[in-house]
Amino acid sequence: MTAAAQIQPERRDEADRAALAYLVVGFAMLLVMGIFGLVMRLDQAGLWVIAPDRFYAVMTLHGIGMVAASLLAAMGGMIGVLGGTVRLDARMLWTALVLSLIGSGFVVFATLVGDFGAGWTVLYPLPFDSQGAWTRWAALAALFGILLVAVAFLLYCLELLRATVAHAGGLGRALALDYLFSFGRRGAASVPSPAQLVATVVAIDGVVTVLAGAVYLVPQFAIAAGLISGVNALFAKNFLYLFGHTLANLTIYLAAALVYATLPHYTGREWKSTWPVVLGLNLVIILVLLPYPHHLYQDFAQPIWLQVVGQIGSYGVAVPAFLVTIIGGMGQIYRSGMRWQVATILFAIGLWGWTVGGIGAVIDATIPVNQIMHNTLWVPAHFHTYYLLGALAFSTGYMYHLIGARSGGGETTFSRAAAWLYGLGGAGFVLMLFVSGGMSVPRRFAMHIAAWQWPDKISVAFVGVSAIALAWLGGECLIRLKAAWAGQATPP
Amino acid sequence: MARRRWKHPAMLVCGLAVLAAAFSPPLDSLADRFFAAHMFQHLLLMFAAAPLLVAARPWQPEAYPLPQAWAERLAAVRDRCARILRGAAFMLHQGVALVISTAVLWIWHIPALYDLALVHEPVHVAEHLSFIAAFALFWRPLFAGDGRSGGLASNLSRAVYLVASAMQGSLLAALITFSDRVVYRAYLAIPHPRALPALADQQLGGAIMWFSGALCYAVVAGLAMRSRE
Repeated sequence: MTAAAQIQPERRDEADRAALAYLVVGFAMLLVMGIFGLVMRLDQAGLWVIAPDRFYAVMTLHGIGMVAASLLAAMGGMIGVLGGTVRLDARMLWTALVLSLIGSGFVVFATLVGDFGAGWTVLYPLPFDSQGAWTRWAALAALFGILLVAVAFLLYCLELLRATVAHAGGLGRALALDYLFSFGRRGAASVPSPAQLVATVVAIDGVVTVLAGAVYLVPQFAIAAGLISGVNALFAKNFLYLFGHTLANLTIYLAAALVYATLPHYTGREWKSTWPVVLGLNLVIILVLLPYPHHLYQDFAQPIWLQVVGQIGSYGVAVPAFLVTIIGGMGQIYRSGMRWQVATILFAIGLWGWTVGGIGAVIDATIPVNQIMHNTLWVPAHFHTYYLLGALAFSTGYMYHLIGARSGGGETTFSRAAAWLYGLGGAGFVLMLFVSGGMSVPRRFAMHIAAWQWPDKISVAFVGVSAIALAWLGGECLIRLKAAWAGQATPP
Repeated sequence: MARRRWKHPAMLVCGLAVLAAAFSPPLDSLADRFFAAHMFQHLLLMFAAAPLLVAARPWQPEAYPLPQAWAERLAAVRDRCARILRGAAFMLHQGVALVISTAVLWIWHIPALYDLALVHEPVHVAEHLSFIAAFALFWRPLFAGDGRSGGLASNLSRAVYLVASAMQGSLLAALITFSDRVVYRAYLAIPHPRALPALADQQLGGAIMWFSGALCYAVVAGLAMRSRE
């Protein structure tokens, strides 16, 4: 009897339903946050000008909301992927979802009602030193909301870790260390699937990341309470980026695991945990924690060795991502005779997005380039590429696959056209951001001068195309959701 | 088994203790002067006393270590009350309970009504009783077992129920916290210490309502969710 067969159908159903809840809520949040992103681009293009204070509040909400929404969707996908083989506790998963939504509510109200506009980085000492732009309570509410989302992610990671370790029979087995250190000579029969490996790796890094976030956030609450007068700004910034940057990266790894588990359904080829895959994913445990200093190259007080770590780490983390996901994904598709369906189109777009966004990140992580490019729209260009066209494409593709599999609903030519249009719109949008970065247009400026506005205007049109396509796919999912909820468990 | 028999009485005692603490002179007199203390008092009533009293299931004397005759007599009283209140049974529906608890919370925070309660003790008592009753109705579906006994049957419905309530409470608290003027003008007539002027008191009260309320919802989520549905 295989491990997959040991999961009772009702447990599989519970996991699928929790996955659907995470995916649908995450997707809905992404659409709403995308509208706020459109408002920002309309403002910068001079097409719908809003007050600068409002722009920064919207920017803050868009940034934090998009990270939280992408994370939720990817977390949901991982639940669906693991649910067929690993016994997950529904109580922990649903509690984490509720906690995450309550935390997101704090950020929504802190920004839209309280005008909090310190950006998603909420960089010390800005939250409590707004020069009257927002109150101390608004800063506290935003930080508290982020803390709740982080705690929700911690609960999720602990559950993932417990479940994968229990399933494999130990942490070493969950990471296939015996297989790894024997160069594939021992333990080949019990190597976890790539998705299970990613789950364990992300869970370990997730715990480290949330702890880093606590190191940043807890002193902020102590400052607000008057218990301490301040913290070392550079120390705080290091931990903030270790938290935020790593969390954003882990989202993509979670989303990539959905491709490892789902693409084989379409290609008919197994995505095996070969020795290079096991090595690559184990290296991610360390490598994903290293690149964050590339956000601090312009901090002259930062020790030089950390700057070097940032550059090497940024290059290093690209290697397993490229070998495991990009090459692995292309190897799956190449000459497989796979039909282009919505899920596979979105997965292919995601592979493209992760590659291009990753190249943009590697370029920006090169110290001499970073000195010129970091405060331009080049940086939003790279992270929008691997979020919008990478993580979101993977998660949306998986959501479409899961809902289709459970509801038994088919897809039409319009569905496939919408998937391609989503990629086209997204590509045009990020291309315009890259062009603006190439023109040295500064980022985080509420108002753009006329000479900077032509790419902004073109990008608005592309956002419109992408949004319509995404809304079409979302609408199809919504129509089938009831049937999917009541439907049969997906094959493991 | 014996320990289970004492679970409900223990919760009843805790619920009553919280009620006593909420209405005890130190907090009650502070609540008359400071908005923040008043919000803390409301939190005790809605988020501690009400769920504890509901979880204690006082309507189930069989769950208590009472002599058989007493339990039967109390059950008979309960059944008689249930017959009298049959027309109000619709209020036990989850959707209705959510609407009632939301409405009660918002109505009592309308400035004119809030100020009225602050200066007229009978209105104030009515406010507190309505908070306890409305939130007892609200918590009941989360602790009432499965769908057949009027409880929320799935983790999805529990999650939607909790998040919907948390969001409306958050919105009200955020509006109070971020208001740049004193909303409840009755406090302007009450002398405040220099360290905590009326506006700062209002912001602190809103934040207590918002932050502590969210933590309560989070704790309840952990207790109400099921590993297996």
